[in-house]
Amino acid sequence: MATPPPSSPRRLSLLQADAALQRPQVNPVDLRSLEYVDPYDHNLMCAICHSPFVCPVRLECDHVFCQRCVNDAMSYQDRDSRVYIVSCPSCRRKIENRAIAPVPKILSHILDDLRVKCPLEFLGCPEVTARGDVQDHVDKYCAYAEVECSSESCLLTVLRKDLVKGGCLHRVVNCEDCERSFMEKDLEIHRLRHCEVVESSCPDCNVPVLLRDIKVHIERCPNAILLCNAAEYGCAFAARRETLDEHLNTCPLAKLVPFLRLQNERLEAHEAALKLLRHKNSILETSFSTIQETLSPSANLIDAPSSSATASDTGPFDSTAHHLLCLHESLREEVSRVSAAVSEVDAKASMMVMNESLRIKEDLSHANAAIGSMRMQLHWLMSARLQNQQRVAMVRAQSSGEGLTSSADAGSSSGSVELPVRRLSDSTRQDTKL
Amino acid sequence: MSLCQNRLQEERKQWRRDHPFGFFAKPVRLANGVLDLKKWECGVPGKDKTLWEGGLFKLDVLFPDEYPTKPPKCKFVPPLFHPNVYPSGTVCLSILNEEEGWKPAITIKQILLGIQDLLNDPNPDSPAQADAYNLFKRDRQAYEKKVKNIVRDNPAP
Repeated sequence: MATPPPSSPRRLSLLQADAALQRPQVNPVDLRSLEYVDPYDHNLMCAICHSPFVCPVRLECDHVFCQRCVNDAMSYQDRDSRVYIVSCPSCRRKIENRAIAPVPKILSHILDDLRVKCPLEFLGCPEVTARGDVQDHVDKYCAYAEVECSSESCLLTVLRKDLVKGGCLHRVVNCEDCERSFMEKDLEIHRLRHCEVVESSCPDCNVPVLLRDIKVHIERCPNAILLCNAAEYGCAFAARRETLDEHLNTCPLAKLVPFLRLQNERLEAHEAALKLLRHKNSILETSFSTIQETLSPSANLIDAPSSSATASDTGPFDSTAHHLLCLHESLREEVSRVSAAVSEVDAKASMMVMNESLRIKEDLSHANAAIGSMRMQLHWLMSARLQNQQRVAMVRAQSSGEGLTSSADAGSSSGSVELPVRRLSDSTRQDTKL
Repeated sequence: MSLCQNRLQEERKQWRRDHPFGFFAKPVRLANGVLDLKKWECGVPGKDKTLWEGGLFKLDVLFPDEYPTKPPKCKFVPPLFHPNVYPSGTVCLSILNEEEGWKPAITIKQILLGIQDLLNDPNPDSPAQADAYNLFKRDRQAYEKKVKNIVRDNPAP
């Protein structure tokens, strides 16, 4: 499969355009907004739109998305970035090859088999079908889909189920009862649900009543069967409204109703209070138990040694608090003793250090004096040797340069004297160091 | 329906089906009674056994038209004292950054859980506000005290 050069139109958008040409649809069903009957496997969910895949495609990193989702994601990324490189919406890997690969047929089959409700369910269509068939259902069979009116001159639409009634259903007609005018197709719903002047009848007394008055009538209807006021407290009496009044005068339970109601309220209040207290109690108990837990290990630690050590002289303590206090006292004494010992040791150590340092100082001054005398001797030796050499050089110069002029003689002698002297002084110093 | 609306509708369904305890997230209702799916009001509780335990912090999540290709913007209302929250309240988090870690597969649930993690685990490499960052760096005790005060002011119900 050749990849398109960056400048050519998107392959993805071309595909979509083809699909639209092949199958002209008045209103394609939006597969993403369908209601799925059964929970579907989450692996079938597109990471971008979070619906089951619609026309799934595969990127070079093997991640699968809906075609439209990938298109949208890439166009947004393109708009922002100058470079012609986009990344996978799942793994963020750079996608260099934009050609998308088809997914295995089996995936499309699984997706097409998902059961969905008809998108016109809100109008009353009870159909549940495979997702692959839902477009056909709406286009050809759904009784609640809108289709063109059977009358050729009429441009409006009717529901498919109303087509069988024949003729144009957009004629304006009047409701027989309320005199309001409707299109013929809407009349049925109006008369069933909304018309307030249509006659209905009371379920208890069978007297004809207008639909809009029926609620008021039921509240007053003398023939309505009512329950005794004390029904909830055990009176099983039920009668028409007229006879009920007589019953209420004699029924002992009915007389107790206010009292019972009060009692009930009280009980409820108590229950609520009890619940609150119980909750509080549980909180306190847990905090108490945590306190005990933190205390118990330390108490055990104290008990073990004290029972062995103090059993002989003082016997067991009468309470843990007392015990703890005693222990604290003894520990404090111990600490003070230890601190005294530490300060003593400290004083001793500092004395020792002082003595030692004094001695070392004396030694140092001795050594310094010795070094001074050595230096003096060295100086004396060196100067003696220098003089000696100078004398030797002078003698040699006099014996060799007899024929030269006095000025040349002075220059050469000074040059010949300087060199050996310096070298010699170097070598002597080396000797003393070694 | 646009991709953005579709996805948000699905997110809402999923959230209503199942969401972590103590959190809440719902699209706001406009004055005319219509749900605005592009703006959600969410609440993130402090994690148990951390400094932030017992608090509930409210934030607005604003979804751009390009969602889910682009990440939503999460903003604490009122702005939260935290090293990685800008003075405006906007959260600075790698998974909410388009250049760094955002990918369309991330759900609202994952975002909110990520923000909950961030609360007790601030990232000192990307400070967003000076107050909280300096206190966090220099005086940890004062920082913790301040956080405790904030938790007390924003208690979970």
